[in-house]
Amino acid sequence: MTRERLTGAGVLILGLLIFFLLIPRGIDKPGSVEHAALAPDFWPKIIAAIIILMGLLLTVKPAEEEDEEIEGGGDAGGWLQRLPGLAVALGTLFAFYFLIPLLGMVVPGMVMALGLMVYAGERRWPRGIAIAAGVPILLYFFFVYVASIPIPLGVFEILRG
Amino acid sequence: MYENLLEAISLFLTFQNVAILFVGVLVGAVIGAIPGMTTPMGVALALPFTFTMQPVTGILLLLGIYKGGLYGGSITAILIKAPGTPAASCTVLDGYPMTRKGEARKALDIALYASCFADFISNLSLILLAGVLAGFALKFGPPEFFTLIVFSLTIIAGVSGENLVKGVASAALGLLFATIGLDMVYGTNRFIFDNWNLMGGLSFIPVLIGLFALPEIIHYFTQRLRDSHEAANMAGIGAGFADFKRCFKSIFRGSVIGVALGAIPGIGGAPAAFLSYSEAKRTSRNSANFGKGEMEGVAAAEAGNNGVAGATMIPLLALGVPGDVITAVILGAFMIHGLRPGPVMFVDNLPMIYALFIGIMLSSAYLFVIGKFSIKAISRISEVPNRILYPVVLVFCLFGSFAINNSMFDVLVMVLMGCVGYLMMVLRFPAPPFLIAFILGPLLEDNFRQSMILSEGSLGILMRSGICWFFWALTLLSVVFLVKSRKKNIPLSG
Repeated sequence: MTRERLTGAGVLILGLLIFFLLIPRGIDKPGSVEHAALAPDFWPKIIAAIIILMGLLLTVKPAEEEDEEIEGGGDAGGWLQRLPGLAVALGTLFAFYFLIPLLGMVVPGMVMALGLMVYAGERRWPRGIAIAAGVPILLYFFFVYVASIPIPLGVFEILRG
Repeated sequence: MYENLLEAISLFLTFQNVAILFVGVLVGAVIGAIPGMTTPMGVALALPFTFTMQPVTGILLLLGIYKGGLYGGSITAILIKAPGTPAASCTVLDGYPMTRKGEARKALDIALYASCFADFISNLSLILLAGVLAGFALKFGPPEFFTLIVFSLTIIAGVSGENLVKGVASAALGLLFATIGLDMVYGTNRFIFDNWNLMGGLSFIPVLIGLFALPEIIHYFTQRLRDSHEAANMAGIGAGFADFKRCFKSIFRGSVIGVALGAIPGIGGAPAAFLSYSEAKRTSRNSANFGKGEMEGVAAAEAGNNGVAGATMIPLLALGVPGDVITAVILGAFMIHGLRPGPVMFVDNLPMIYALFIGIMLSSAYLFVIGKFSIKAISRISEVPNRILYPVVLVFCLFGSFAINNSMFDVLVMVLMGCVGYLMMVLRFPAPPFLIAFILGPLLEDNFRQSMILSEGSLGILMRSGICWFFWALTLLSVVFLVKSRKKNIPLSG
């Protein structure tokens, strides 16, 4: 129950932040507005109010916590168990994103796929390497030569025929 | 009429369309058969591949995946007790016991026959009803559309999972994300923060892939990694015409139930499957065998489940509002191709609608052929280990989200939406309401503001006609029905 209540409080705080901080700072208002309902911030304010209301409801009447489907649950121990995998998954994604200008998408795609397969326990190397290398190459050829979408190659741009 | 039909035939009858539909149904059946892959995920991943296709070709690919996925979900439900879709969970009740009794082949066959028959009935109802509904919808102005979209948002109650409040919060977040970009009336900035990439709003596909594919992948890597696939057991002899005849009453009734529930936004395949199953159990001479491996139970569940497939397209094509999550994705695909489903499309693009109808009818036949001749191979694919599958899917996600606008920013949006989606998954906030609200949000706001301009700010315009009142009443009824269904624990929207 506590975790659900905390989730509700989080939603409530998020709603309040959107209403009082994000909307005033993020929405430019025109000099004059014909009707209040036409103002650019009218709709976002209604949405923020709904989020606040849902946050209140979740805090006041939290949902019953059911058996954890997500392994490890939401407790601190569970999160500690999940942390290495989470760090690997998110670290890989962000590393891929930041490497695109330098190395393009194909080579980082191969390395990422193989790395994740090995991390997840794949030990049949020929199969792993073939799939990890083959999928980005196939996608590259599809997008470049079938769909005419230039997939970046970074420093390997010289290889493009 | 005949000119349109001839034009539609020439529009549809290309090798590309005929082949791509087959590929779509096959890919859908494979995706549905892989535990851990969902049909919305499959449709989302296929979306970037449709950019350079003709609109009809692209939409047919997605429709094929949708229909194949519905059937594919039943394969693993029967063979390894792992339903590929929520709707297929009803098929488990008798399908898996049949496998245990050595009758897997018979269960798979009757599931296929029931699926194809129900799909055909559903497609027929789509063809007969969509045009009539669209003709009616031509009388709509902005207030009528606003009330229609409010009614459509009741889908959220159906796709909210275990907690409606969390579903509404998720939808509100989706609506908020949809407001990013330039204001439609005054042209001022909304949540752009000097980043020009945000001026046109968030692209639909990175948001979709981020929400539906990435969280599953991240979740997989945060678990104790393991792959626990049972070997598929394809034992026994198949079902014949006599078996189909014995189950026909339940199959027909299930198809009608599927059509009726599928046409209502937000209900989905799962309640149709369970309602069809319970009706079959109530009226069958073999009701005592239900739950112990009764073929009629499998047939009823699959008929209810597949009966929704064509019917969910009725509100999408006729009114421009999605009936479930997958049709919401297909709505996004229409928009990407610069098309807007709805009554106007029946006037401006009738040959295209007819071409889609032809393709939809053909998909039922493809489903039968694929199910009959490749079921053994498909069930083998379900044994692909997740340690191989998920890294490959991740590569698809990254390439797909880049390819939309050749934009690294879209890759970043996809990654960030994946983080949001994962957090939502951990905190048990359902993602489908977010997506549906994200798609319907701009339409809702646009029609509301147009109404306000017409009425000079008076809210009374939202009740100006019988149509408005009709949709307000329907919204109320829908909410009451969905809330009551939730109290009875009937799983919605599968």
